[in-house]
Amino acid sequence: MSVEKKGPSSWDVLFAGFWRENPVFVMLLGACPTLAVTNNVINCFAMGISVLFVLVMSGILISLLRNFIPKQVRIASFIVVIATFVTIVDYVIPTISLDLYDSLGAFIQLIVVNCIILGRAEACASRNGVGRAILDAIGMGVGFTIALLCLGVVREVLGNGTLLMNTPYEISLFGANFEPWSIMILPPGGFFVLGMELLVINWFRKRKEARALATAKA
Amino acid sequence: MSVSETTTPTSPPQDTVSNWSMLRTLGAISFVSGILLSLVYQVTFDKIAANNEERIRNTVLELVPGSVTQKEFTFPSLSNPELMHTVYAAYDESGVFQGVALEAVDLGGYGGEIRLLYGYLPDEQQVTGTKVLLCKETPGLGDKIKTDEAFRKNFEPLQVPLNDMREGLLYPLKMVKPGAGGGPGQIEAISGATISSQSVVNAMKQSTEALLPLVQAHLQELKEQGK
Repeated sequence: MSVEKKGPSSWDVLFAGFWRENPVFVMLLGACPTLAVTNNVINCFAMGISVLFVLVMSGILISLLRNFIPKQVRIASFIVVIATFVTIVDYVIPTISLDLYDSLGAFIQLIVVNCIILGRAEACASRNGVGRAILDAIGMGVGFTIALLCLGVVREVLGNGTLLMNTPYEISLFGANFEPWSIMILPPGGFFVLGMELLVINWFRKRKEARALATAKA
Repeated sequence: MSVSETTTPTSPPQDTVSNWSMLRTLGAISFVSGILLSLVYQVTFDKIAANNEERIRNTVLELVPGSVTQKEFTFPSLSNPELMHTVYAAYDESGVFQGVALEAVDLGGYGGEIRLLYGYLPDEQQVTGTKVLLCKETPGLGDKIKTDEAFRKNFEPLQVPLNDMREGLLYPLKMVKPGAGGGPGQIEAISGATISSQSVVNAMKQSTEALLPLVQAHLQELKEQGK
């Protein structure tokens, strides 16, 4: 997981988070907000962008300060830096929309303890230059957003029959006779959808590995 | 990720030096983040307050028919002067008093707190309707308190005359089974969402009993303030 200084190219660092090392689907980090806020698409966007912002900003700062922070207090320092940016997000979101802020609830504040961010600070930002830290943060943040959207789209379409509900761009998909699967909007729906998606992704990966092994043998 | 593996064991001989540098680092980071946060707080404070106000204003104007402006009043409770109640008075464009919107809160919903605003016309002694501000009820079941037509009709309008003492309701609000209502002060529950309905009724009962006599007592003041 740790990115060596001379290892992968910048593009690899950026794209690793999108898919190959996707924080949710591959590393299974940050599952708490993933399950909790993905019941509609707009929440996923807001959560994803917030995490992206916190990741990038704390990545930059931690990478800049990495030579000044004594080893013993690095976790405490990282948490203070992360908490600062999370609080900024917490102030900014209600200026955009109070309804959005209400529906995200405590999960914005809980980004502080999201292990994706502390994990990237520890594994990447504190050991690499600013450029690489930014690329890694963007990659992980976008990967997290993609994963949230993968869940959010399924849950909202099945659970409410709409896309982008609570926004001016709401699209109703199935007409008036559609009976929403309420379970999809409720917390169990998050587990079901995440489980299904992990199943599909791992099935593909296993198959790919098996093929690679077969071609290597032949 | 593996925090414990990479943590180097602290070496006692250098403690005095590293203690100072640890303190310095943490202090500096906290100091800078404190400054940053207070800046962001000041920048966003007005906008957040304005958003909150706009949300309440829109709801108040929606609840009181014919109103275009609203004003906020706080009055001490009749039974307990320490306790302050907020009353949102609504006026039309020439400043004529139309009615008030009042807040009702109950903590006994299925998902916790339920908060709503309701419109009240003091002259007609009736509730014009309710609007749920905060609801954490189960989607598809409890959150029908926001959408269920029959349930909303209970409050559109609901006659809430005061009793002769002018300190409570003549017919205290009471929840009844769906289809069994119709009497004065009776609210028909949503079938399948009894707890959420009960919570709304409790909120309304408590709020109407405390606030309606208060509004009636200050009615003259509310009417004059619009001019």
